[in-house]
Amino acid sequence: MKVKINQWAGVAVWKWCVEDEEVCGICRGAFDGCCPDCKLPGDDCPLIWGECKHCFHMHCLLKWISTEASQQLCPMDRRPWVTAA
Amino acid sequence: MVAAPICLTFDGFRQPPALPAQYEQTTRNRLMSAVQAIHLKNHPDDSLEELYRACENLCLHYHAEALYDCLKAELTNQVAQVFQALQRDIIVPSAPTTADPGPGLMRLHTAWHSFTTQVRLIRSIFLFLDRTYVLQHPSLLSVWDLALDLFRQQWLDHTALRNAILQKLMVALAAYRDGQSPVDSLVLHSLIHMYIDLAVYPTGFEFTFLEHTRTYYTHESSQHLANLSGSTDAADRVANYLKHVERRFHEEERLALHFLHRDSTKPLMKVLYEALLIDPIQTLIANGLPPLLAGQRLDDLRRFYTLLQRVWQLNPLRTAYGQYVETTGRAIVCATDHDDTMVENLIQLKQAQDRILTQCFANDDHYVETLRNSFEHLINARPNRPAQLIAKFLDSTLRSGNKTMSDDQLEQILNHVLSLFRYLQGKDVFEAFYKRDLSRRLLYNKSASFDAEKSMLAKLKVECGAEFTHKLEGMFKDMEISRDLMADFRPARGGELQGKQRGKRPLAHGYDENPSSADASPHFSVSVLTQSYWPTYPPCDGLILPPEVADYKKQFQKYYLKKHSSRNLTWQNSLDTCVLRVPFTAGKKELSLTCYQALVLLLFQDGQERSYAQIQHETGIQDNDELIRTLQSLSGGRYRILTKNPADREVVIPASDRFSFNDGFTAPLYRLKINAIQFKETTQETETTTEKVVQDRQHQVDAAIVRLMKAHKNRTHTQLMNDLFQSLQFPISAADLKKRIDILIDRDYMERDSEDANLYRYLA
Repeated sequence: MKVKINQWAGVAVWKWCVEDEEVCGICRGAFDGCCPDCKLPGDDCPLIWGECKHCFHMHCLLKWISTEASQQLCPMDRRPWVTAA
Repeated sequence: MVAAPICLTFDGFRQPPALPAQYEQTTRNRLMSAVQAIHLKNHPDDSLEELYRACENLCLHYHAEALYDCLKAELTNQVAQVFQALQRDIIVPSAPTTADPGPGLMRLHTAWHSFTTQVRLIRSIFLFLDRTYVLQHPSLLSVWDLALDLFRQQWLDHTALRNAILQKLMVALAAYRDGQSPVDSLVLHSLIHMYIDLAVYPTGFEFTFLEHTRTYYTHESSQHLANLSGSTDAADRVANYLKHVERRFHEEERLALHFLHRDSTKPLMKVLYEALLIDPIQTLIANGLPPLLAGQRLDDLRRFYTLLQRVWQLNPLRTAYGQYVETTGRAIVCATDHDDTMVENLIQLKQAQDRILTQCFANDDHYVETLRNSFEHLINARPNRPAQLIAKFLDSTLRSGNKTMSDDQLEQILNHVLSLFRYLQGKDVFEAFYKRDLSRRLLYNKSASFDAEKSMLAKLKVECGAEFTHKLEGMFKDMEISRDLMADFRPARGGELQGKQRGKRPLAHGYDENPSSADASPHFSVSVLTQSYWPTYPPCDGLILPPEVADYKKQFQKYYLKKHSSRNLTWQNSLDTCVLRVPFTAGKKELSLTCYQALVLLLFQDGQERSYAQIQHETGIQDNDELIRTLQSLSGGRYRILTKNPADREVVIPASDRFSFNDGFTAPLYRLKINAIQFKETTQETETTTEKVVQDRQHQVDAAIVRLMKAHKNRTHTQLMNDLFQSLQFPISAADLKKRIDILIDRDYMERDSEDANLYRYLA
């Protein structure tokens, strides 16, 4: 007896590529969660990585960069912020 | 020389002109004899013109006073005669009080009628007297008023006669109310107006009449409503009674219009309202309302409302209505044996009440409010369960959906469900269950109508705001993104697999429109979920998937991670579904299966018999409960794809049972859906969902407490509790709140004031 697979519908769940315990250095909120301005995590509130390997909620970081005090530096190591490709 | 004065005398002026000596006396006598003749209904000897002149002459010659006195004496005399005759004719000592009132009343009516006619004629004769002498002396009564005054005095003096007439009038009116007419209504009208003309109406008639009316109707209502409570036909009796009352109101209004002084209508109706409705109102409502509502007797209910509205007694009815709805609904909600029909019953109740509100209670704002309160109470009489059942009801509706009903019907049902949902306090419980059910519908492609799903979502959004539906919308969005991904993924796949692909655009859930064509290659698809939108599913690692599936998933993962470099992808194999074509001896069948079922079934391609342990080892299904359920669904139930040995019972026992492929399987249909037992709502699942809701609530409570404390810095216990009850969207007990406050104090978010134990301080 030979069974033939006609259809197969798989299900997968995506998460951000970060350690579970890590939190955003700006808002101290979990990466699995969202920035303080958003209601819900997911595509609408993505993360952003710098070349310095530091990771933040994108909204948090953009807000920081747009302030004058930031001088376009990464808030963690004070080096110029360059978004990782 | 002085001349003597000349004196002239005019003889003719020494005596003024005078009437003949007997003129006044004779003229007055002529007038009085005319008055007597009129009284005796004879023609006066002189013509009326002559009489009028005679009166005029007397007045012009200053004999008016004497004439007036004379006339007064004559009239007094006449009225006395009239009353003597009346007394003699009407008062019959031996007759009982209930004797036919007709002759007596008729007698008085005739007397009164001829008296007034006569006085009118007399007044015409003495008109000049009226216009001159009487007018110049304000203390004197005009001839007409004088006659009435004399009549009234006699009337008041003859107490026995007065009482007898009143008694007879009451008997006559009672008979009139009973529908008989022993006395001509003209007579009644004239006599009642006699009271008005004599100015004795309020005390002499109206008071007694109202008292009598009250007695009459109190008696009537108690007769109608005797032994009402507990009687089986209470609804009919109350309905008939209300009809009767309505008719009575109408009749009495007409009676007042025809017979009474117009100022009497109001007090009469008031007596009627009190005797017929207000006094027995509790009996009516307690015995009549529930059966009328239960029987949905719209006309009777409308009558009930309108009548009570008329007597300003809508509140007792409203209270009873609210109680009825609440009791009925509570019985539905708390009938734990009938959970499966609870929502349907509630919808029916709601619909019925809505109809009653619009058709019978004129959409009265207060009643609408009462209904809302009642529903709020009854639906929350049992915690959580109604919310869960409403979600479940929606699930089954949206599943079977359009297969059995039209779009309009479906829309209607959704609206009805929503009208119940509105009253739920624990909307988060509903959301949790609805989300779980929605995820199943989406992933297993069970949703009957995409439009209906969207419409329901829109309704929820309107009802609870965008925040409430955000996650649910996210789930739909995930499905759309996945579909786009599948379209994008196909061409990106290399080599052999790509060549075999059909150029069709896949459906959202990967089920092709025509998957049964014999030589088609497998049709794969993947749904990628955003974790926070979907319910969490237990991870299931270590499943041994068929090689082509595993290969496909690997390729997809590679593709996905390349596209989204900063993401991780975790497979939720337990949620996979598939369609397998299985060749039985009697013919090929297509089976829709869950991942677990498929893995088990695929093992038996070699025709071997296997033990439970072997199956577990070869499929990699570690979860024993899951595997037992899977085997049970394949070997027991409606379609027995596997044969269990021994086959004496349905329950799978891992230690002893062995399984083999059931070659001889037959079924009337080509495509079969093997119902998976785990799809059914298990108690455990319910518990976990509820537990999750409870956890979520705790977080919300904590957040609310901290937020409030941060805003106010200092707060007394009562203040804080009040604020919390206002800001929290779900029902929670004070004890639970207190527990959370204590935990937050332990965790140093806040502290109790060292002096005032009731005061909390926020700790930054």
